Parts: sequence; C-alpha cells; structure tokens
Amino acid sequence: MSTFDGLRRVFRVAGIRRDVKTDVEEELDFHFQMTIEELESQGMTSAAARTEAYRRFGDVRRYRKTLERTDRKKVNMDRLTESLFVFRQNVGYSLRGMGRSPGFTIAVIATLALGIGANATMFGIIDRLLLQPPAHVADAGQVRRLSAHGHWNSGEAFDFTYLSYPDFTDWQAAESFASVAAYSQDEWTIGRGDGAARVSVGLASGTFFQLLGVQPQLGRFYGPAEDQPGQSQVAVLSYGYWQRQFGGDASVLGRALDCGRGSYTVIGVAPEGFTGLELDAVDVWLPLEAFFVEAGSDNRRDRRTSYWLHIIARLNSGVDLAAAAAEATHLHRAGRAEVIDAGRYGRGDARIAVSPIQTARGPQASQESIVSRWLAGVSLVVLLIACANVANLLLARAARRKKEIAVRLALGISRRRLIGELLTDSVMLAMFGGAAALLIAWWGGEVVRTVLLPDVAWVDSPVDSRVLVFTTALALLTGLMAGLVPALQASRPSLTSELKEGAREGRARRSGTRLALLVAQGALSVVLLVGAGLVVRSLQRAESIDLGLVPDGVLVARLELKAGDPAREEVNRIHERGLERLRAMPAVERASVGGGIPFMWGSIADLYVPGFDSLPSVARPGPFIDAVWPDYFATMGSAVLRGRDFSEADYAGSMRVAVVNEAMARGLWGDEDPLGKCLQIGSDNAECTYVVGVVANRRHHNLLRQEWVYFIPLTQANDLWPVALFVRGTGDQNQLAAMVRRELMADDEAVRYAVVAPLQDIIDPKLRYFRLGATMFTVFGLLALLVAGLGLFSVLAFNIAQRTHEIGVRTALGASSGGIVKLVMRQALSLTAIGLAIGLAIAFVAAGTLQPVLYETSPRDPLVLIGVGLTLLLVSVVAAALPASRAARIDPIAALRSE
Amino acid sequence: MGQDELKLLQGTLDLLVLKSLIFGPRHGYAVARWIRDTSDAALQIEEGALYTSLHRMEKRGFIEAEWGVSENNRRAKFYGLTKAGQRELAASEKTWTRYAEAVFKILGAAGSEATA
Repeated sequence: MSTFDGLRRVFRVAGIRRDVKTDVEEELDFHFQMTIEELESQGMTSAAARTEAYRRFGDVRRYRKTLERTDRKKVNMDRLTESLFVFRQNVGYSLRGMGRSPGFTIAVIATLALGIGANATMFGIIDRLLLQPPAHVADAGQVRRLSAHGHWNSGEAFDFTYLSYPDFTDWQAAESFASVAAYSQDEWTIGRGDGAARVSVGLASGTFFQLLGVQPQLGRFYGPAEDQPGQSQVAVLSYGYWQRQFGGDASVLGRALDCGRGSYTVIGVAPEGFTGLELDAVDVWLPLEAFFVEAGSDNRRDRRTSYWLHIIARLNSGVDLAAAAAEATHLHRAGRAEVIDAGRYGRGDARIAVSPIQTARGPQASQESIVSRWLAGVSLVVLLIACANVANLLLARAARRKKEIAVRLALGISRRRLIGELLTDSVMLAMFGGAAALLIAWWGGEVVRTVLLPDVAWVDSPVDSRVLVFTTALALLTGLMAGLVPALQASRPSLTSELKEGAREGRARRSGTRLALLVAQGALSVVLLVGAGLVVRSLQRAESIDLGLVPDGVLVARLELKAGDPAREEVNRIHERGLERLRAMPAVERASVGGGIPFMWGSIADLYVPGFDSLPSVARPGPFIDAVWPDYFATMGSAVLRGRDFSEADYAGSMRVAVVNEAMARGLWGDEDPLGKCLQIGSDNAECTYVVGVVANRRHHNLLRQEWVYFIPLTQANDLWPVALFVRGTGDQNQLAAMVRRELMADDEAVRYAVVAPLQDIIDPKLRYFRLGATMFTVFGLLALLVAGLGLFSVLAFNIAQRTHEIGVRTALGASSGGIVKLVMRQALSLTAIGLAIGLAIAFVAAGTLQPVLYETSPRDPLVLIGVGLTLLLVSVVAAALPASRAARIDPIAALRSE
Repeated sequence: MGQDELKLLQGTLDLLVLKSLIFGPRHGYAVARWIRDTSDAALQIEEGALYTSLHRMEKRGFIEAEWGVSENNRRAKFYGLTKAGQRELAASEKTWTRYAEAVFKILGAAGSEATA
C-alpha cells in the first residue's frame, strides 16, 4: 500500500478499467457505513445515525455528480497520457528496430518510396490538369466552356471545341449568361528584322478579364470598349514575358510593342501564373480585334463555318446548366437555320455542351491528359505491388520474432497494444518512405513536366503543398495497409506451439498469406507489363507508319507579309521569288510551295466523283485537298507511283489535272487504272479534273489515319493560296533554317518575317504522348517486375534460412545438390505460374479498356502476352537462383550442429 | 464569529486534505475523521466537499487512489500523496502560514493601538 512510486505505472497500464459510477458509489457506500457504525457505537439509534451521517455529508446527489464528473475527466486524461506514452514507446521500439536491421529497413523504405513516389509524381500532374481550377479565376465553378456536338449526315459524330465569331456575338444575348468571352491562342512575331522573335499570343475578347475576375499585376486590362475596330492597339503582357523581356520594369506601361503587323501599347501586366483558361503559356494578350487587323480581312467576323475560338461564359446565378445549354443550343441553331435546312450542317442536331473549364475534364481533353490519367492509375497498381511486397517482408520479420511475441503475449501484453506497436512500426517505415518519395516526386515531376507536357506553364515546383499533403496521407494509408495483415497475424500465434518449438523450428511452416501476397504481386506486375507491352507495340507501329513522305531534311518556311490584304497574285509572286532564291542556294537540293502544311494546316473541298452518290465514310474527315507547285513530291520525298508529277505545263488555262494518293485511288477505283479518271471539285457540275498521277500514301492531317489526299497545281487552284515553302537540303537543319530565313527576308520588301522550322518538329509532338505513355508505362512495369522479383527472392531466401535444418537432414540422407536446387526452383516456378495465370486472365479481360490509347495493336496481342510470360518466368528463375544455390551448399554437419 | 464551528476559507480544504495524508494512504472516511478529531470538531466541513477535494486533487496528480482493504476488512478506496502532492503540501503550507501570520500581525497591531 505504501509504494506509490513510478514502478506502479507500468502495471497500471494493463489494469482493469472500472466504471466511474460504480467506483464513486462504492466509495460513498463505504463512507456511510463507517460513519453510521461509528455513530451507533456512540449510542445513537440506527435511524438517527443514518440521518446524522447524511447531514454531515451534505447534498449527496449533487456531490456524487461532481465526483463522477471529476473522475471521468481524470480517466480521459489518463487514457490520453497513456496512449501518448505508448506511442512514444512504439516509435522508440520502431526506430531501434530499424537501426538493428538496416538491410530490411532500407529494402522496405526503398520499395515504399518507389510506390509512393510514382503516385506523388502523377498526383502533381493530375492535380494541375484535372483538379485545380485555372489560377486567378474568381468563382471558377460559374465559368463554363461551350462546345458543339452533333452528327454528320453519315452518322459519324462531330465535336466542335472551337466555335465561330458569330456564335460568340449571338450568345452575348443569352439570358443564362452574365457574360460571354472568346479567346484563341496563336503564335505571332514580335519585333522587326533580325531581332524579331516568335511569341505565344493570347487573343481575348474585351469581356475576357472581367468575366474571369482576374486582377492585373500592374496597370490595367483592356475592356469591351477597346476590343472594337480601330481601338484595339493595346496589349497586356504576361508576368513571365514582362520579367524575361523587361526585367519586371514598371515603366513598361505605355511602351509600344511591334506585334505581328501592328503596333500595340502596353497597358498592363497579368498576374504571375495567369495563362487564361488553357495550361499553355501566353506571352502577350491582345484584343480579339487585333486578329482581324492581322488577318487583313473581316472574313471570319461573320463566317459561321470558321471554327477558331474557344468560347466561355459565366452563368447568371441561379441558372441551371441544362437551361443554359438549351438556350445556347437554340441560339447556335437559329444562327445556322439556312445551312441546317439545306442539310449542310450534318443532321442539324448539334447541341451545345456547357462543361467545366478545366479542358482536360471536358470533351476537349487532350491526349496528354488522357495518358496522364492512365499513368496515374498505373502508378496506383505499382503502389499496390509495393504494399504487397512490404507486407510480405513484415510478415517474414514477424515470423522471425514469433517467439519473442509469444513470450510477450504470455506475459500479458494486450493484443491491442501489440497490434498498435506493429502498426506504428509499419507506419513509421511508410513515413520514411514518403519522405524519400518526395525526392522522387521532385525529380520525376520535373521529368514528366518537361517531357510529357512541355507547353504547360508550370508555376509551382513539382512538390507543392497539395502534393505534400497527398504524399503524407498516402504514406499513412500505405503504412496501415501494408502493416495490417502482418500485425493481425503476428499477434495471434498459437502460444503453446510457439513456446514448445524451442530454438529451432522443426519444419518450415508455410504462411498462406505470404504466398498469396507473392502470387498477387506477380499477377499485378503481369497486368502492368502486358499494358506496357501493348503501349510499346503501339508506339513502334505508330513510329514506323509510312507517312508517304520523308520528313528528314525537310524545312517548312512560312512568310509573314507586310501588306495587309494582299491579292492572290501578289502572294503567288512573293513565293515565286522566294523559291527562286532558295533554289539558288548550294545547300538546298530541292524546293517547292504548298497550299497546306502536313499535320498542321489542311483543307477540305466539296468533292464529287462521277459514278459515286457519296464518298465512303472511311474518307472522312477528308478527302484533303492540297495545291502545290511542281517538284513538290520530290521535295517532300513522296514517290510518284504512277503517271506524272505536275509540271510548268500545268498552268491556269490548261487541262485541269490532279494527283491522288494511293489510298484514294484504291478506295475509289479499286484495281482499275485511276489515270484519266474525273474528279469534280467544288460542285457536282464542276468541270472535270483529270487524274494524271498516283502518289505514295501521303498522310495529311492525322498521323494515325490512312487518309485520302489529292493534289492539284497551285496555278489551277482558285481557293487555295500558297501557305508555305518546302525545302529539302543538306547539312545541319538548324543552320540551314537560319540561312533560309535570312535568304527569304533579305531584299524582299514584301516579307516582314519568315518562320522556318524542320518538318520533323511538326510531326514529333503528335507522337509525344504516345512516346511518353510508352516510356512511363514501361518504367512502371519494370519497377513492378523488379519489386515482385525482389519479393520472390526475399521470401525464398527466408524459407531456405528457415529450412536449413530440414535441408541439412535431406543432404545427410543423400539428397543431391541438384535435387535441392530442383526443390527450390519448383516452389519458385509454381508460384510464378499461378501469378502469371491470374495476371494473364486479368489482362485478357481488362486490356480492352486500354484500346483508346493503343494504335493498331490488339489488346490481346499474342506476342506481348507470350513475351510477358517468358519475362516473368525468367525473372523468377533469376530470383530463385541465389537462394537455391545457397540451399544446395548447406553443410549438413553445420546445419545439424547449429541447434 | 458567533459560531463554534468555523467556516472554511477557500482553498484551505485542499491543504487540510493533503496534510491528512502525510502519515500514509488513507480512505476518505479516515481523512474526514482525522480532520474532525484533530480540529476538535471546530471546523464545519461538509464531508461531500471533502470527497470533492480528494477527487479533484487526484485529477491534478497530487494524490493517487487505489482500492484496498480497510481495517475492518472491507473494500475501500485509499488515497496517498504523490511526489507532486508532497511538494504542493509544502508550498501551500508555507503560503498559508505566512498569510496567517500577516493577518495576526495586523490584528495584533490594531489591538495594541486600541489599548494605547
């Protein structure tokens, strides 16, 4: 009774928790009994004694309540102190444990770091693309993006994410919208002469900044009054451009900026990180009117067939989305009533969708964002595999500690306490893993940003506060997930058998859970590898597509002219002059002119072919038309398979001629000779244009589609103008590009600037998401394979260590080392085979969902499936090799003596 | 004061309770009895207040409680001083004594002035 020292605490923790109410009740009962007895012994009657005892005590009910309240508070406080104490103790155990087995600790932390790191990296990307509203936009939920969706007459669906200028003006009258804004992004030339540079220009209506509710960093934004013809010579710089070009100097306000054809006065600077509603960086913001000035024509002002503007609206409060969409649809169709009646706007069923402003979320999701979403899913699978692996390692360790745990349980430690201890350990490991994951996310984020999404204007570092919170939460969750099963299992050993077994375990007791985890890891990595294999196959196929041209060595040169609205003849002459000068350059082998730019700028004309009511839908979108000058095919590296190239003899008044690509020739006329066939371009009573040649399967618009393309001589084209000069030259492309630019700009008063770039630079970004998807998928797949292989290795090695005695006996009884190796290999391979079978089954079922990101690859590509199967078997053989050879080298005498 | 039993000054009860435990752990009844006996029943204390004080100080960590067996073989809750309780007792004893001395001094001075 006399010892109330610190020692007591240790046991109190395990003490029975009594009910506060009973405690107080009993204490007071004792008090009253004692008092009454004392009073009775002094001669009071029992009734009087009772009354006196209660009088002395005071208001029993009130006091009892006070006592209970006080006690309850104390109990709660005690519990808190206790759990903090236990937590601190557990953390201490955990840290000491880590120090004792550094190999194990590093393996677990590294595995978790990879798993969590992959997820943190992808979260950083997804967060910017899908989750966060654009920076600086006030009340972003009310801002919506408009797009049109309907069907062509053929039944094919169309999605117009760009709309026309008249749509913009029509919708301004809509009652659902408080405000409507239109914008578009373009590349313009800033500056004059040699100092000129290309910059990204945001063309935004006067309502744009007001609608978004953004505040300028400096100066002011322009408003609707300045977005008027003749008033639009104002410019707003982006924060980044202001910093880069003007060093953040406030005196930039009022300066004149030569931009494109005009001169603009800088009136303001946008806040840092503001890129409008797109993710791409913008350098300079100009009023939408500036576009018409630059184009030198008002064509697009009332042309409803020119789709070039993103249109957004801020909803009036209280208006529901369906009503807003219905009103916008009504206005959209009303403006096109004539066209719809004439059956020239597809089925006339276009409806307007009112979607969230994050592009990646809406119907305008880019391939990049779709691929990012996929990769995020894949990274989750990697984490699952890592979790399984860590759970397995923890189980193995728990098995090693079995005896210690059994002893502690026998000594009376509670299961709860034990589970808490084990979970603290796994969570601690996961937290360290999470910290390392941040480093991976930092590095990985930079890589993904620069390689996958180089055009996005990233503001924060790859690890911002949101990534930090996400990573911490994920680490916590991972720690619990990986630790739960091992903790539950370890805390429930059969006490007697563990204690009886003694120092040596007679036979290896196989843990079903561990084998199941191993199989699950194998299965998941098979799924990932199959996915990776399919995407890689797609990339290979996409990269080996025959584009029908040889981009290597070809430069594309676009001329910016001084004249505002030059006549077609003038444009022709300017290009002719440029072509002559280029052809005179020694480094230039060939040069020509085209009315389009492959994969960048294409045209479609109404086409009628005698003998056909309508063109087959395989030709849509298309057939594409291009108007070119002689020697175009040779310059582009497109082989003329039949007939002839255009020549100087094909002039305006001569017979109308065309060259078609092979797909079109075959699609229209099959095995018949296409030469001499008639095409009617523009209308069904147009004069015949005769096919004089067939060119290799040129693709024009979409790399991944076999399109129909036909060419006519520029001299015979009415609607197509020269768009670019094409040059095939030798030597370094960048040097040649500089030379070509100088040559084109020199001595020609009419040319303001020449934009010269390798054709490859236009093609490459089209496959970028493919390449990155394939790379990341492969990286994640290999990561999974590595983790699964290590998992197999560690479990086998552990088993061998446990079975040392048994194997020693076997060897002593005459088992050959080959037999022992076979024994280990059989176990490894049977586990792998089960995992493989399950994984392939899952892949077989799930691969279909991958179809949208594949190209000409069956989701059940046998080569991929077989390849993955062999890879997994190979890895498991490698993983089993070391444990097997160790098992074979067990010295029976040492093994038997070691007990 | 017209009454034989004195009303207790605030906070003094805690001090008395702590003091009652210096000879070792006691149950509540014993504490009550000790205070009554030692003060010759001069202090008027509701026993309920005494228990309130015991529990409050248990919560504050000055005393620790444990169930044990009483002199007459019944289950009773025993209270004992903790280290913190001993410190607290020493400190408040000192404060209380100084306070009382100061009050006495003033009372004494007033008395001598009156006689002068």
